[in-house]
Amino acid sequence: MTFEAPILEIDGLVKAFDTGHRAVDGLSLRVTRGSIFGFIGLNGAGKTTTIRIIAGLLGHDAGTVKLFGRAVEVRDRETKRAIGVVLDEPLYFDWMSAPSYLRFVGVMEGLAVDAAEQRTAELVQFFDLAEKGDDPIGTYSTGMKKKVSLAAAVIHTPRLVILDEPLEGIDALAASAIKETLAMMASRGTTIFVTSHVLDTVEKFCTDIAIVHRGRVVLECRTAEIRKRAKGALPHETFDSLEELFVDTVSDKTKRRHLSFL
Amino acid sequence: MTFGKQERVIFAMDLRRCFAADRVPVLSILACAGILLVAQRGGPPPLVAVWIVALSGLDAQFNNLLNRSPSELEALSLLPVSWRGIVLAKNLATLCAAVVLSAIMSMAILYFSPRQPDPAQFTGGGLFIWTVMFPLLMIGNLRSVQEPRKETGGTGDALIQAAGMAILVLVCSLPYVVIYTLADNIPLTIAYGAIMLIAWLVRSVRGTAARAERLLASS
Repeated sequence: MTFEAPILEIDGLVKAFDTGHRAVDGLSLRVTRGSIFGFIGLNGAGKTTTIRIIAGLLGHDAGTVKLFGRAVEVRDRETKRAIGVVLDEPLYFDWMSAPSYLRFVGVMEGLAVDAAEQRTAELVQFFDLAEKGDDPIGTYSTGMKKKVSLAAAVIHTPRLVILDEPLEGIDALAASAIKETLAMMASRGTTIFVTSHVLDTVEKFCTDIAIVHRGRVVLECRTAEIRKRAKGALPHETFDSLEELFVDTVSDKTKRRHLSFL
Repeated sequence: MTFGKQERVIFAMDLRRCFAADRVPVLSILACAGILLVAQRGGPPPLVAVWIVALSGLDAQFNNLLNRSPSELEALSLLPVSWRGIVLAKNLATLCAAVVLSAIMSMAILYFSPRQPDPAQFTGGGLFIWTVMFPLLMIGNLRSVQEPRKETGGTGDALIQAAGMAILVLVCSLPYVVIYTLADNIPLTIAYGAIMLIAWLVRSVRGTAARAERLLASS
């Protein structure tokens, strides 16, 4: 067995908001190089808060977050260059067109102007953004904005790609191409950290998963192990899918799940 | 601190933003206001009117440095460049935009002005901008992190903000009025501008960068 240094290492992470609500409450996990790590949980489980902390967009109250072995607070140019981020609300400059924004990000991330130009052209083609021409991104649909955000996150071939609901609002054809591309990037050593509510996709696409519930990781395993996991005390009875395992892990069995009028 | 490739790219991007198509209506209305201003009996010297109108048209560049797009602050924070570099590049873009915009405005305003500026007025105009620009940048930097405007309205809203900026320009020009217009002390006027330049570079840029970082962490 070989020891792989984690690309991302989180220990006892805590983040509380002004209301006193602890969005993240002692969360710990490790993500190794080249993995496609699915970070799943219910709405409000703490996924987006965790991602914003990893991306350096939010401070935390306790615990440690290490990116490439260095504390996340140390955000030097090299660390920033090594990651690509897509948030649930895409980041962009709304007055720029997609090609000019991608060129801007490419050059900012250290690409030569020619390389940024060439990659922009390829990404515009890949994500079907050409039809928008020089329209400002602010006028795009939600799905198109997400595509721009995705393109900007990978233009500089980062070592770690952090994706919060990357396929939400994206058409099936583009989603399939994106998954294929991300899988190819992972096979070449890029680490993908992704959240999604589409558990079927996570099961097929991710190599590892962590289920987060009420601000902490309640289950972490290889995706390949899901169907080998024993249900309750019966070792011969296993889960049929990630969805079944997820529901079993996070559901509140005492809560009523039906409507009297239906 | 170095002003490297990344900072130059932000500078160019920001300068382009100052003259984006959506700003044309506001700038056209301000040019008309400038023409009316110099046509008044007892109005300001034409070059001062040019500066007031040009600086008013750059309200967002001065006072909303990091939020001209709703997610600009966060998008900038992901880029491999320091906040000091970002603030400095954006401030320098504002300086350049003021020069370019005043050149454009002066073509329109001086063409219609009944009084043409004499050489002494060029000195006065130069000293006016030298004394006013850096206090405006410092106040703008502070307002950008203390009262960031994520949602901005249309042309009407921009005109109201421009009117507020015009008042700010007038307030910042008080030292110029006292030192240059009333006391006619050119060396002191130059020295005052130099002190403001140093204060902007040493304190304001650094302080704004630190506040931007805190603003992001608390957002």
